[in-house]
Amino acid sequence: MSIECGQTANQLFLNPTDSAALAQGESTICGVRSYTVKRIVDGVDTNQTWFTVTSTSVANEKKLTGTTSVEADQGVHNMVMITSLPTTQGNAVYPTMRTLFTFTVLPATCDCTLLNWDIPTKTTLNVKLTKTPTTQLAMATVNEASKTAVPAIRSCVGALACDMTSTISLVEKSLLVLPNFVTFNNDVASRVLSLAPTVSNQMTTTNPNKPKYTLTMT
Amino acid sequence: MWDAIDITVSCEIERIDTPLKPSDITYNILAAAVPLTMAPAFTQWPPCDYAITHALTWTLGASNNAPATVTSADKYSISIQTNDHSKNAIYQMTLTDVVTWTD
Repeated sequence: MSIECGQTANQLFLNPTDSAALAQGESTICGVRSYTVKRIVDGVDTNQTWFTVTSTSVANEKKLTGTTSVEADQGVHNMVMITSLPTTQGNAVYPTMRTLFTFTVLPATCDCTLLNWDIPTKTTLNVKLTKTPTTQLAMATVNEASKTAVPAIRSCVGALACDMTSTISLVEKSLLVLPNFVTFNNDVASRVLSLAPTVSNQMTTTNPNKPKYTLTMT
Repeated sequence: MWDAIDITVSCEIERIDTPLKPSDITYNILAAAVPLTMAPAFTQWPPCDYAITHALTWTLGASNNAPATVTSADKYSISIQTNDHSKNAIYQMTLTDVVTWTD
């Protein structure tokens, strides 16, 4: 089984049968099978947290699920799935079945789309006709936590580093352009919005069809 | 894309601009009527275009005894005319506008 770090892989399999079940025609005559997955380190079975075995909605079917989000786990690992029968039926010691497999954890593929943005709170501005206020608009910033949240973004280093430079644009939400009394310096460092309403048809307080201008930034 | 700012644009009348002061007029008694029209009209600033009610009144001389009459069709205009020699004097005319409006 092979995954990229941070991803999950599944393998479906059927409960293995046994000789008693075959002889009697009853699949669970020796009890229900249980499964334990171990990592083999230096020839010794050791506990691990990468794999789980669960039932599916299909009769007699199991699902082996392997995952890890720890970069230190990258590499090839020797694993064993141990199938056991119950040991509570008398003093019988039933045989177990060891299924060996390898678990390969590959470096995650850099995915810059996993970066999230912190959106600034919308501000409000009331301007009177013939006044010329200016204000600096806040801009979205890359969420710090998202830069290291998952392996696929943590792998974006060096030549694969995500381009976090920004360009911004501003339009009125319904007009899709800026109103003619609004100018905006879209230089990222500036972001200065200047207003200069001069005529009454730019007013919102007397216009039921346009009670406010909402400017959306991209 | 996100909403960055909501802008409301309102207007508050700061002043009422008055007509220009006309040049002094010299009228000769018994001459034909001399019209005087004040211009431009009283206007709101900024141009909020609020509906304003104007109440224009003239004071025609200190005792309101100047030989002039307000033109009924145009409250900005007066007509100066008299045949009465006792009206020989200097008169100061004042046009007052009381304005009311609702934002």
